[in-house]
Amino acid sequence: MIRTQQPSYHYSSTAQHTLVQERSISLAQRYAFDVCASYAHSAGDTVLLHAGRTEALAALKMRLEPLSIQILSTHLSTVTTVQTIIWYQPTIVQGSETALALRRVMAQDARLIVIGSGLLQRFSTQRMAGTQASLAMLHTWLAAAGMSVELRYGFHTLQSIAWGFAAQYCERFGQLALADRCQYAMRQSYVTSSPLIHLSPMYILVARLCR
Amino acid sequence: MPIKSTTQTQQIIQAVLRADAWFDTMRNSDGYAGPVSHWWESCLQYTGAGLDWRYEGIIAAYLTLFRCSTEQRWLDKACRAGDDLIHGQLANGNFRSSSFELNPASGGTPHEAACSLGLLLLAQELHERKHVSGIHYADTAEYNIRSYWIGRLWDAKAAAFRDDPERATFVPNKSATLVEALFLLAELRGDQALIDRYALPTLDAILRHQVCGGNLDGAICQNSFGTHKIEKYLPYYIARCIPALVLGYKHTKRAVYVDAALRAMRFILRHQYEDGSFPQAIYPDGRINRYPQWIAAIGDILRAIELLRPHGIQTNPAALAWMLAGQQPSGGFATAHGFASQVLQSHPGGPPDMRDILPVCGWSDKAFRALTTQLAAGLSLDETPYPAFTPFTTTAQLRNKRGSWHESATAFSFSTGTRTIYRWQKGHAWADVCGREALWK
Repeated sequence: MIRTQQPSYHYSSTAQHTLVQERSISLAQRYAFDVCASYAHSAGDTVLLHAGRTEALAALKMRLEPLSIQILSTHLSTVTTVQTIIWYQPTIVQGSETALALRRVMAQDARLIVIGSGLLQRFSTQRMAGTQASLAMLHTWLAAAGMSVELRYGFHTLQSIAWGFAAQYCERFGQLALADRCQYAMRQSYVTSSPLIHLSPMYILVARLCR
Repeated sequence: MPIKSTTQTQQIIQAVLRADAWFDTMRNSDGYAGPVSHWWESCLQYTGAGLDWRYEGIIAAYLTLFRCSTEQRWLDKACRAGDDLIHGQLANGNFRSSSFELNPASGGTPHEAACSLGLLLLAQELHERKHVSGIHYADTAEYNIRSYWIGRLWDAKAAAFRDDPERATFVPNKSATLVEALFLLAELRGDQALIDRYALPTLDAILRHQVCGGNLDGAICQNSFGTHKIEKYLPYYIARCIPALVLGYKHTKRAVYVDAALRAMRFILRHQYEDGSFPQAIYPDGRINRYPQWIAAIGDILRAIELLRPHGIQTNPAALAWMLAGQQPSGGFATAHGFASQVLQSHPGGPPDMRDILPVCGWSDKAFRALTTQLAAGLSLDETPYPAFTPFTTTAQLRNKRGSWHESATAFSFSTGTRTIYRWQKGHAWADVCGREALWK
């Protein structure tokens, strides 16, 4: 029998974002946050996080560790230039001004990643009030700030929403094998880069400074 | 231990050494890393160390190699893996990045129980050899079990462990992993209460999820929400319940546990295909979703068979052959066969899906562990030429795009023509390239 006289646990200071919390955010958010993390880790510098809303940010911050994160809500004047900026859920309030301000703190090769919500956000568990910026507004603001969008993804598509409903109905009627297959079909059709991203409950735009 | 020919033994030794060489390439400073493909969700972007169930198989395999050969290097590797877990334990008792397909979240189930089980196997080995360092591994496991599993997931009313602190959920295979850890902790600490209060009631809850009679006799439901059982029967996960049931029998001599284990195994074997493989899921109406069929994970079915051999279950060369055929020149094991057929469930044609051939630490550990249990004591692996890592290139597909899959000692990549769709530099915590086709959870 082993007896310990003095426990010697190693305590890490890493943020404790748990599986339960991870399950509480939507699949679309997980996709969006993972894309952000990939870009940020690839740049390997300080990440500037500008969030109109702060829910679910623990999940994003966990992914960004161990990078240095600066979280801003309004004031940008004290920020030096950074390689990665994440603009989470932009609102219509001062949107164009914010885009211009963010542009000023972008290093030459920096990327601005915007996470927004599209028209079908009612099919997501996380949805915003009616103050969020539309995709068209974002394109206008980014262009006016001298940025071009190099990549865009929508998460959860018309197709995947339909498959999700089909899975629910199959499950309700006891067709579990079919329900599982519909679930896989839902996941298979979950990501789009087509112009229909404005419908997706969550989308991301990756923008760079125009050369 | 089955009697094997010299050729068979040599084949298994070579497979084990190649797997060991592969695992060494998958390490970064925090532990064993890499992407994950899984039945319900994949994790291709986060590629950092995962302190999840891969550690159960890795530690157990290295301990078996140490016992067979008494070569110190294997114990050192088991301790190195245990040290990853000690350093990755959080203040609340959880482990960092312990959610496998949902990494980098912590609090993963059954993954943290599997980590604790690995630590306790290591502590037990060191204790038997009078090494004091075993205390630290046991302490880390005990803190996880007491603070997380007993502290937050034990449901006293249901007398079982939940899968979620906030909802009445029960997953037999996950609880079975914890039961294995509880038995071991009870033995190391001399604390019978862990068995009486937690392990045996949990085993009884698993029994309540087993089908009695009919075509599905022996099957164990995948999970339940309150009293509502989800009637899906997954051979792989049913096999993960068997070691705990066998332990329950050994401890109590109650025949009900070994009977349940034998019926579970017979259910699994009734659904085995001629090629040695197993279906992914079986449903109450008799429907079967065959694909994707596990390859590396078959190691856990082989382990359950091995545990039931004293009770009359025969060895299964077909399953072993199916798993061994999935070992790649690099030494890692293919994860599955038929990911691309997951929706239509038609016979997979064309090259394998990238998620099929992706070797994953948290699946390959199961093959690695099962292979080491096939080796007899008294081995001298020092005399066996140590295989160097062999790069591997093959044709694969992803979302109907054909391309070239390549694994080197330093990277995974999937490319079509000049375009790289996926690339992970081993050691990096996030994939370097993850194109639209590889955005697939």
